[in-house]
Amino acid sequence: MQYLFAHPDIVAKALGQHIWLSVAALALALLFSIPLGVLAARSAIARPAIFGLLGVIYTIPSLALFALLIPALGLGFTTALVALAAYAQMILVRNIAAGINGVDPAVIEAARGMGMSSWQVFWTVERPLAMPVALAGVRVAAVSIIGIANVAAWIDAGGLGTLVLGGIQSYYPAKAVAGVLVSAALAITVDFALRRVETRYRRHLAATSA
Amino acid sequence: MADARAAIAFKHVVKVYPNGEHAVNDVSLEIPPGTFAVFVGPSGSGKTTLLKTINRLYDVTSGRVLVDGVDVATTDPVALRRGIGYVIQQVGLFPHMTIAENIAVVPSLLGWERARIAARVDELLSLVHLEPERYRQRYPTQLSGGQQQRVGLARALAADPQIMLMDEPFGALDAIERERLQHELAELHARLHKTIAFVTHDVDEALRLADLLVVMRTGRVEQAGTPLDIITGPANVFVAALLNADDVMRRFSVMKVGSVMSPAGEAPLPSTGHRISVDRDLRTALSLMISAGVQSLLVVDAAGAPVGSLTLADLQRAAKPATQKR
Repeated sequence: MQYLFAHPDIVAKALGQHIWLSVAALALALLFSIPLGVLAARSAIARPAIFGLLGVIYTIPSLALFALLIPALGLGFTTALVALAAYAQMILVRNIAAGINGVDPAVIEAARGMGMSSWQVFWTVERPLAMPVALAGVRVAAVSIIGIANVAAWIDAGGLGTLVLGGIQSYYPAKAVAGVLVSAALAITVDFALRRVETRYRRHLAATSA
Repeated sequence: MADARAAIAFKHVVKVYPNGEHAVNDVSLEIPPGTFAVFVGPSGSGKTTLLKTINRLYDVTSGRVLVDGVDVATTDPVALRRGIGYVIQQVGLFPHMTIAENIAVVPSLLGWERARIAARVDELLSLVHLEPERYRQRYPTQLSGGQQQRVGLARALAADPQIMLMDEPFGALDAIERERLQHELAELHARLHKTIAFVTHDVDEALRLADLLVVMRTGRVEQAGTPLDIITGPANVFVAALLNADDVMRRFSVMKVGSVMSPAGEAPLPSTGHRISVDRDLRTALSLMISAGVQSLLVVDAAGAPVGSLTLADLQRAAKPATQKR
């Protein structure tokens, strides 16, 4: 704690980097996972291929994944960004696909029978009804990214991990603890905020999810 | 062209599923405009499949389906469906939309103005006996099963389609609610003159609602006609057994008082004072005789004027099985 108050500028800078890295990674992850999730939900052929590949990526330990990317992308922000986004794919794609496939088939049939085009069925029926499950995926992915982003310090990508790494290397436990505390607080705050968004979406759906 | 007169016409319709199952096997049938057609048969008889060829949720393997004389295979399925009401057993209301938004779906797709949609929503809610002020802003999960299906019916009627397809719409409701909705649907049909194609496996429901009863088995039409014609002259053993046509009460339920009474002038009018309307069914007449302890009833028309008499002997004559009558 005392480190936190002694060096607010250093902590704030690390927190800023951490948030920026996490937000960018989540945005990049969503850019890929949304189409992949829809494809996995729609296509029985693509589904096992997508989940197979993402499953492999997901099982690689985070530090090893960073290391694997260094030859191609070098040290720094870009490598961390790509690794974090890749790591989040499994969680995001799985939840987006589960959300879409979880929509009551009777509701889809009614929508088609009333004369909605495929796109209208997706946009006005499947998308909003899949949202709570997809958002739960975004929340878990966001929290994972915030946690794993600490490791980015090891490849010189900044963030709160620099406090942890620096604290360990210079035998200064208070510095490392400060990094851990702030990143945990960030994860908990984001989790709480995204839960509230999810609850808003779930409000009217409670009885139908059964 | 004869086809143009039918609201819905099937011409040698065959539907084979990708797994090789012949769901519909050479069905030809015409449903005139304003007809309440009920397709009845055991599960696997192809009735639902046949229904779904009308709005192209299924495309036929061979043969043609004509709606208002136009082959549906030549139409855009999305545009076709917007002109045909569709109600299913599971209702399928959109749980994330209010009741008003659910009903407004097809009008919105058709690009109606807001004010017109709002007025139409209220009109339809009243039509299905749900107070607009109370239900407009609710969500589907806040409604009972019967209320949900009322909304499903209102939603299907929203853009005033001339044809309604209903796939076991009351199958999931309890007996009381089911009967109430059957009654309301019959009233709606009498008032709005829609052409209705209705699928059910409930024989009582079929007999109660149908102008045109279509009995199906293994993808074929076994017999089509009025409930009275079919129950008094079943085409084969299957139809007779499915409808339980030998059951006197079953037959009485589709026979009108007017068809067996002795018209005024031919016989003296009874003086018991118990009256029955000429368009009620014989089952109601018999139960009235038994509960009132009388052997004859005074038959009256809609205005209440005497038009004839109905005696226990008339009912006994009417009860003779179809085979002996023909």
